[in-house]
Amino acid sequence: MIEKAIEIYKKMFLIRQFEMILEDYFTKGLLRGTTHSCIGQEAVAVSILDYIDIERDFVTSTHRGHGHFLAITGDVFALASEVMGKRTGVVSGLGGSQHLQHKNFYTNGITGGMIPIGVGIAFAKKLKGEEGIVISFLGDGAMNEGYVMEALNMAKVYDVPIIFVLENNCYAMSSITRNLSGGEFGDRVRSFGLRYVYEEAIDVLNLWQKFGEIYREVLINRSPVFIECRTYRFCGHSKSDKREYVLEEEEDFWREHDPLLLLREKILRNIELDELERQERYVKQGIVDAFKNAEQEEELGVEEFSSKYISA
Amino acid sequence: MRRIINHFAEMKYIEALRETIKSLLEADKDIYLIGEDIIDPYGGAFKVTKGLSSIFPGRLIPTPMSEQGFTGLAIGMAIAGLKPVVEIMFSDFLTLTVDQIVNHATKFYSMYAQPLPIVIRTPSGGFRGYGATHSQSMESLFFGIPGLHIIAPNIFSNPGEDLKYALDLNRPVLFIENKTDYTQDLILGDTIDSFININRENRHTLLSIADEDSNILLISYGGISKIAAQIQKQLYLKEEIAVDVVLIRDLWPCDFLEEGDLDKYRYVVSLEEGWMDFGWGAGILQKIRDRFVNLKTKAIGARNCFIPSPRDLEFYVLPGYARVYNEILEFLR
Repeated sequence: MIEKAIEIYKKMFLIRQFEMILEDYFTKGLLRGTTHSCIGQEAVAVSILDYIDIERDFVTSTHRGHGHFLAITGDVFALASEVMGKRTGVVSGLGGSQHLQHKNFYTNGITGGMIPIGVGIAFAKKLKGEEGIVISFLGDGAMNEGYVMEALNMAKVYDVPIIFVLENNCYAMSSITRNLSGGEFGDRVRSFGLRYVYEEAIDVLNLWQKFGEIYREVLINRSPVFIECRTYRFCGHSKSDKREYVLEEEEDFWREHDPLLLLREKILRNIELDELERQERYVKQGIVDAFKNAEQEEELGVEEFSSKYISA
Repeated sequence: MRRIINHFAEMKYIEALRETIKSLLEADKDIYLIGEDIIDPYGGAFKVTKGLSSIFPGRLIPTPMSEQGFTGLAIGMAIAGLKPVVEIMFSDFLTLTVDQIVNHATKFYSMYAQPLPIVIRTPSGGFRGYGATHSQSMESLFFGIPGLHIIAPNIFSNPGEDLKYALDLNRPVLFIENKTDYTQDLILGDTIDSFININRENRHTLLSIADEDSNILLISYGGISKIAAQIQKQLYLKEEIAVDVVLIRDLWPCDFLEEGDLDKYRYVVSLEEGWMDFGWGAGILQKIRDRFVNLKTKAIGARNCFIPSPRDLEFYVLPGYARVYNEILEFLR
């Protein structure tokens, strides 16, 4: 168990460090465009995605997809290249932060838009009699998009092997989600006849275990499950967000319950601080190097771009 | 040369579509039909799929009234290796699918280089008194979107062949059918009334007056192609004016300009059923003017107004035969 705990911790640490270094690059004006970091939400990504096989299962993600991508691939160089627009990026640098595609992993920049698509992929698996399932992430803001509700209905009607993972970080951009949402999300989901599970993304190992049970259940039973995961982002919605809207008591609670630090404390009961710090330095150095290496790469040239991508 | 299959010779447009879908379902187990009310006994609002769910159980997927949702569903199915053919009951309802088509399907196809065989079929157009939200030619919303292919068949070739072509493109295709065409007999021979020649060598169809060399071109597409052909015939019989008619089936992207030799024309008229300002005609005529300078052009289409239900008013707003005939005559004078 301690080995697993360290493995999960290192993935979380990698994601958080990546996002912090990325935000630092933005602050220094070294990057164009925008980004949506997931600092604080790492626990959800690393626990559910620990089970999947990306050659067999599909994962649909969101505008806030770095954590999901890194939990699956660990490829910091490809992601750093992508946000820098370099040809070594996940989609040759053409997509940027929000538009990633790697094997069976897809993100897009439209809130909730991937949810009907996730249901469609799961439906295809059912129709073809294929193994594997779909994990579809969404945020709390997406729960108020019409086609997300349409997709939940279809998931039930067509009875497809999908796990919806709602990462409820309390805020839809700057809006306090519960102020703009009628009723409880759980009631909405259950009203479609879907199985609904609620978890708090605080104790990562507990979350990892629960996700494992649900993953195996859907893998065998082939019916949809909806998990709402209460989580929190310590960063802004996007790079320019100063977080003027956060509720103090919410912030205090999550600062005291940062799942990354709680897991770190747990691990330190089993291994020496020096040893853990050594491993952390190693992970961090890897990210720093990846960013530096990505900086050296080139963007796709106009000639190659136009010959490959411009048709009409 | 596109092969004209004989047994389609005595066939209606709707039957050709249905027969093609039937043979596609038989030949390719990855093809699924998705849409509202498409299964028996109802068989679709316009009955295109009538009878098919009984022959192919499980291959026609009835959907809730969730056009955004099931368009996304179909995109997901295509990502996972199936070939969904979606029916949007009226083209007016395409408005609900725009986000999934524009922000999802076309982006995956073009940005992620994802093969995405998905065809979205929909009946377009008016002249039937259905009123403002069931009569529009909504394809105009989609012209110019990179990564999307828009096809509109007409009755002068087999729409089933166009549907097969659409599926083989392996990319998102909007397939614009026309309500007034469903009951029409297809015209698949090489001539009309023995004096109009039909040439289908390309993805567009050329109707030309036999033994006449015309310097006037009328370009059109879809359901209103019928009116274009009628006008061509009457202009020749009544006014002795020979007009070439080109019926374009690939509306976007349009390779007609690359293939077509327009040097001989002095007048080009576009005719569409949709709103003419900033419409298909405006776009294609601009491209033509950019390449061929000594041309006079005119776009004809619907007036800038919602489509009213009463017959006379609907025919006032939409480009009906009489108005188009007069406008073209006036333009040529």
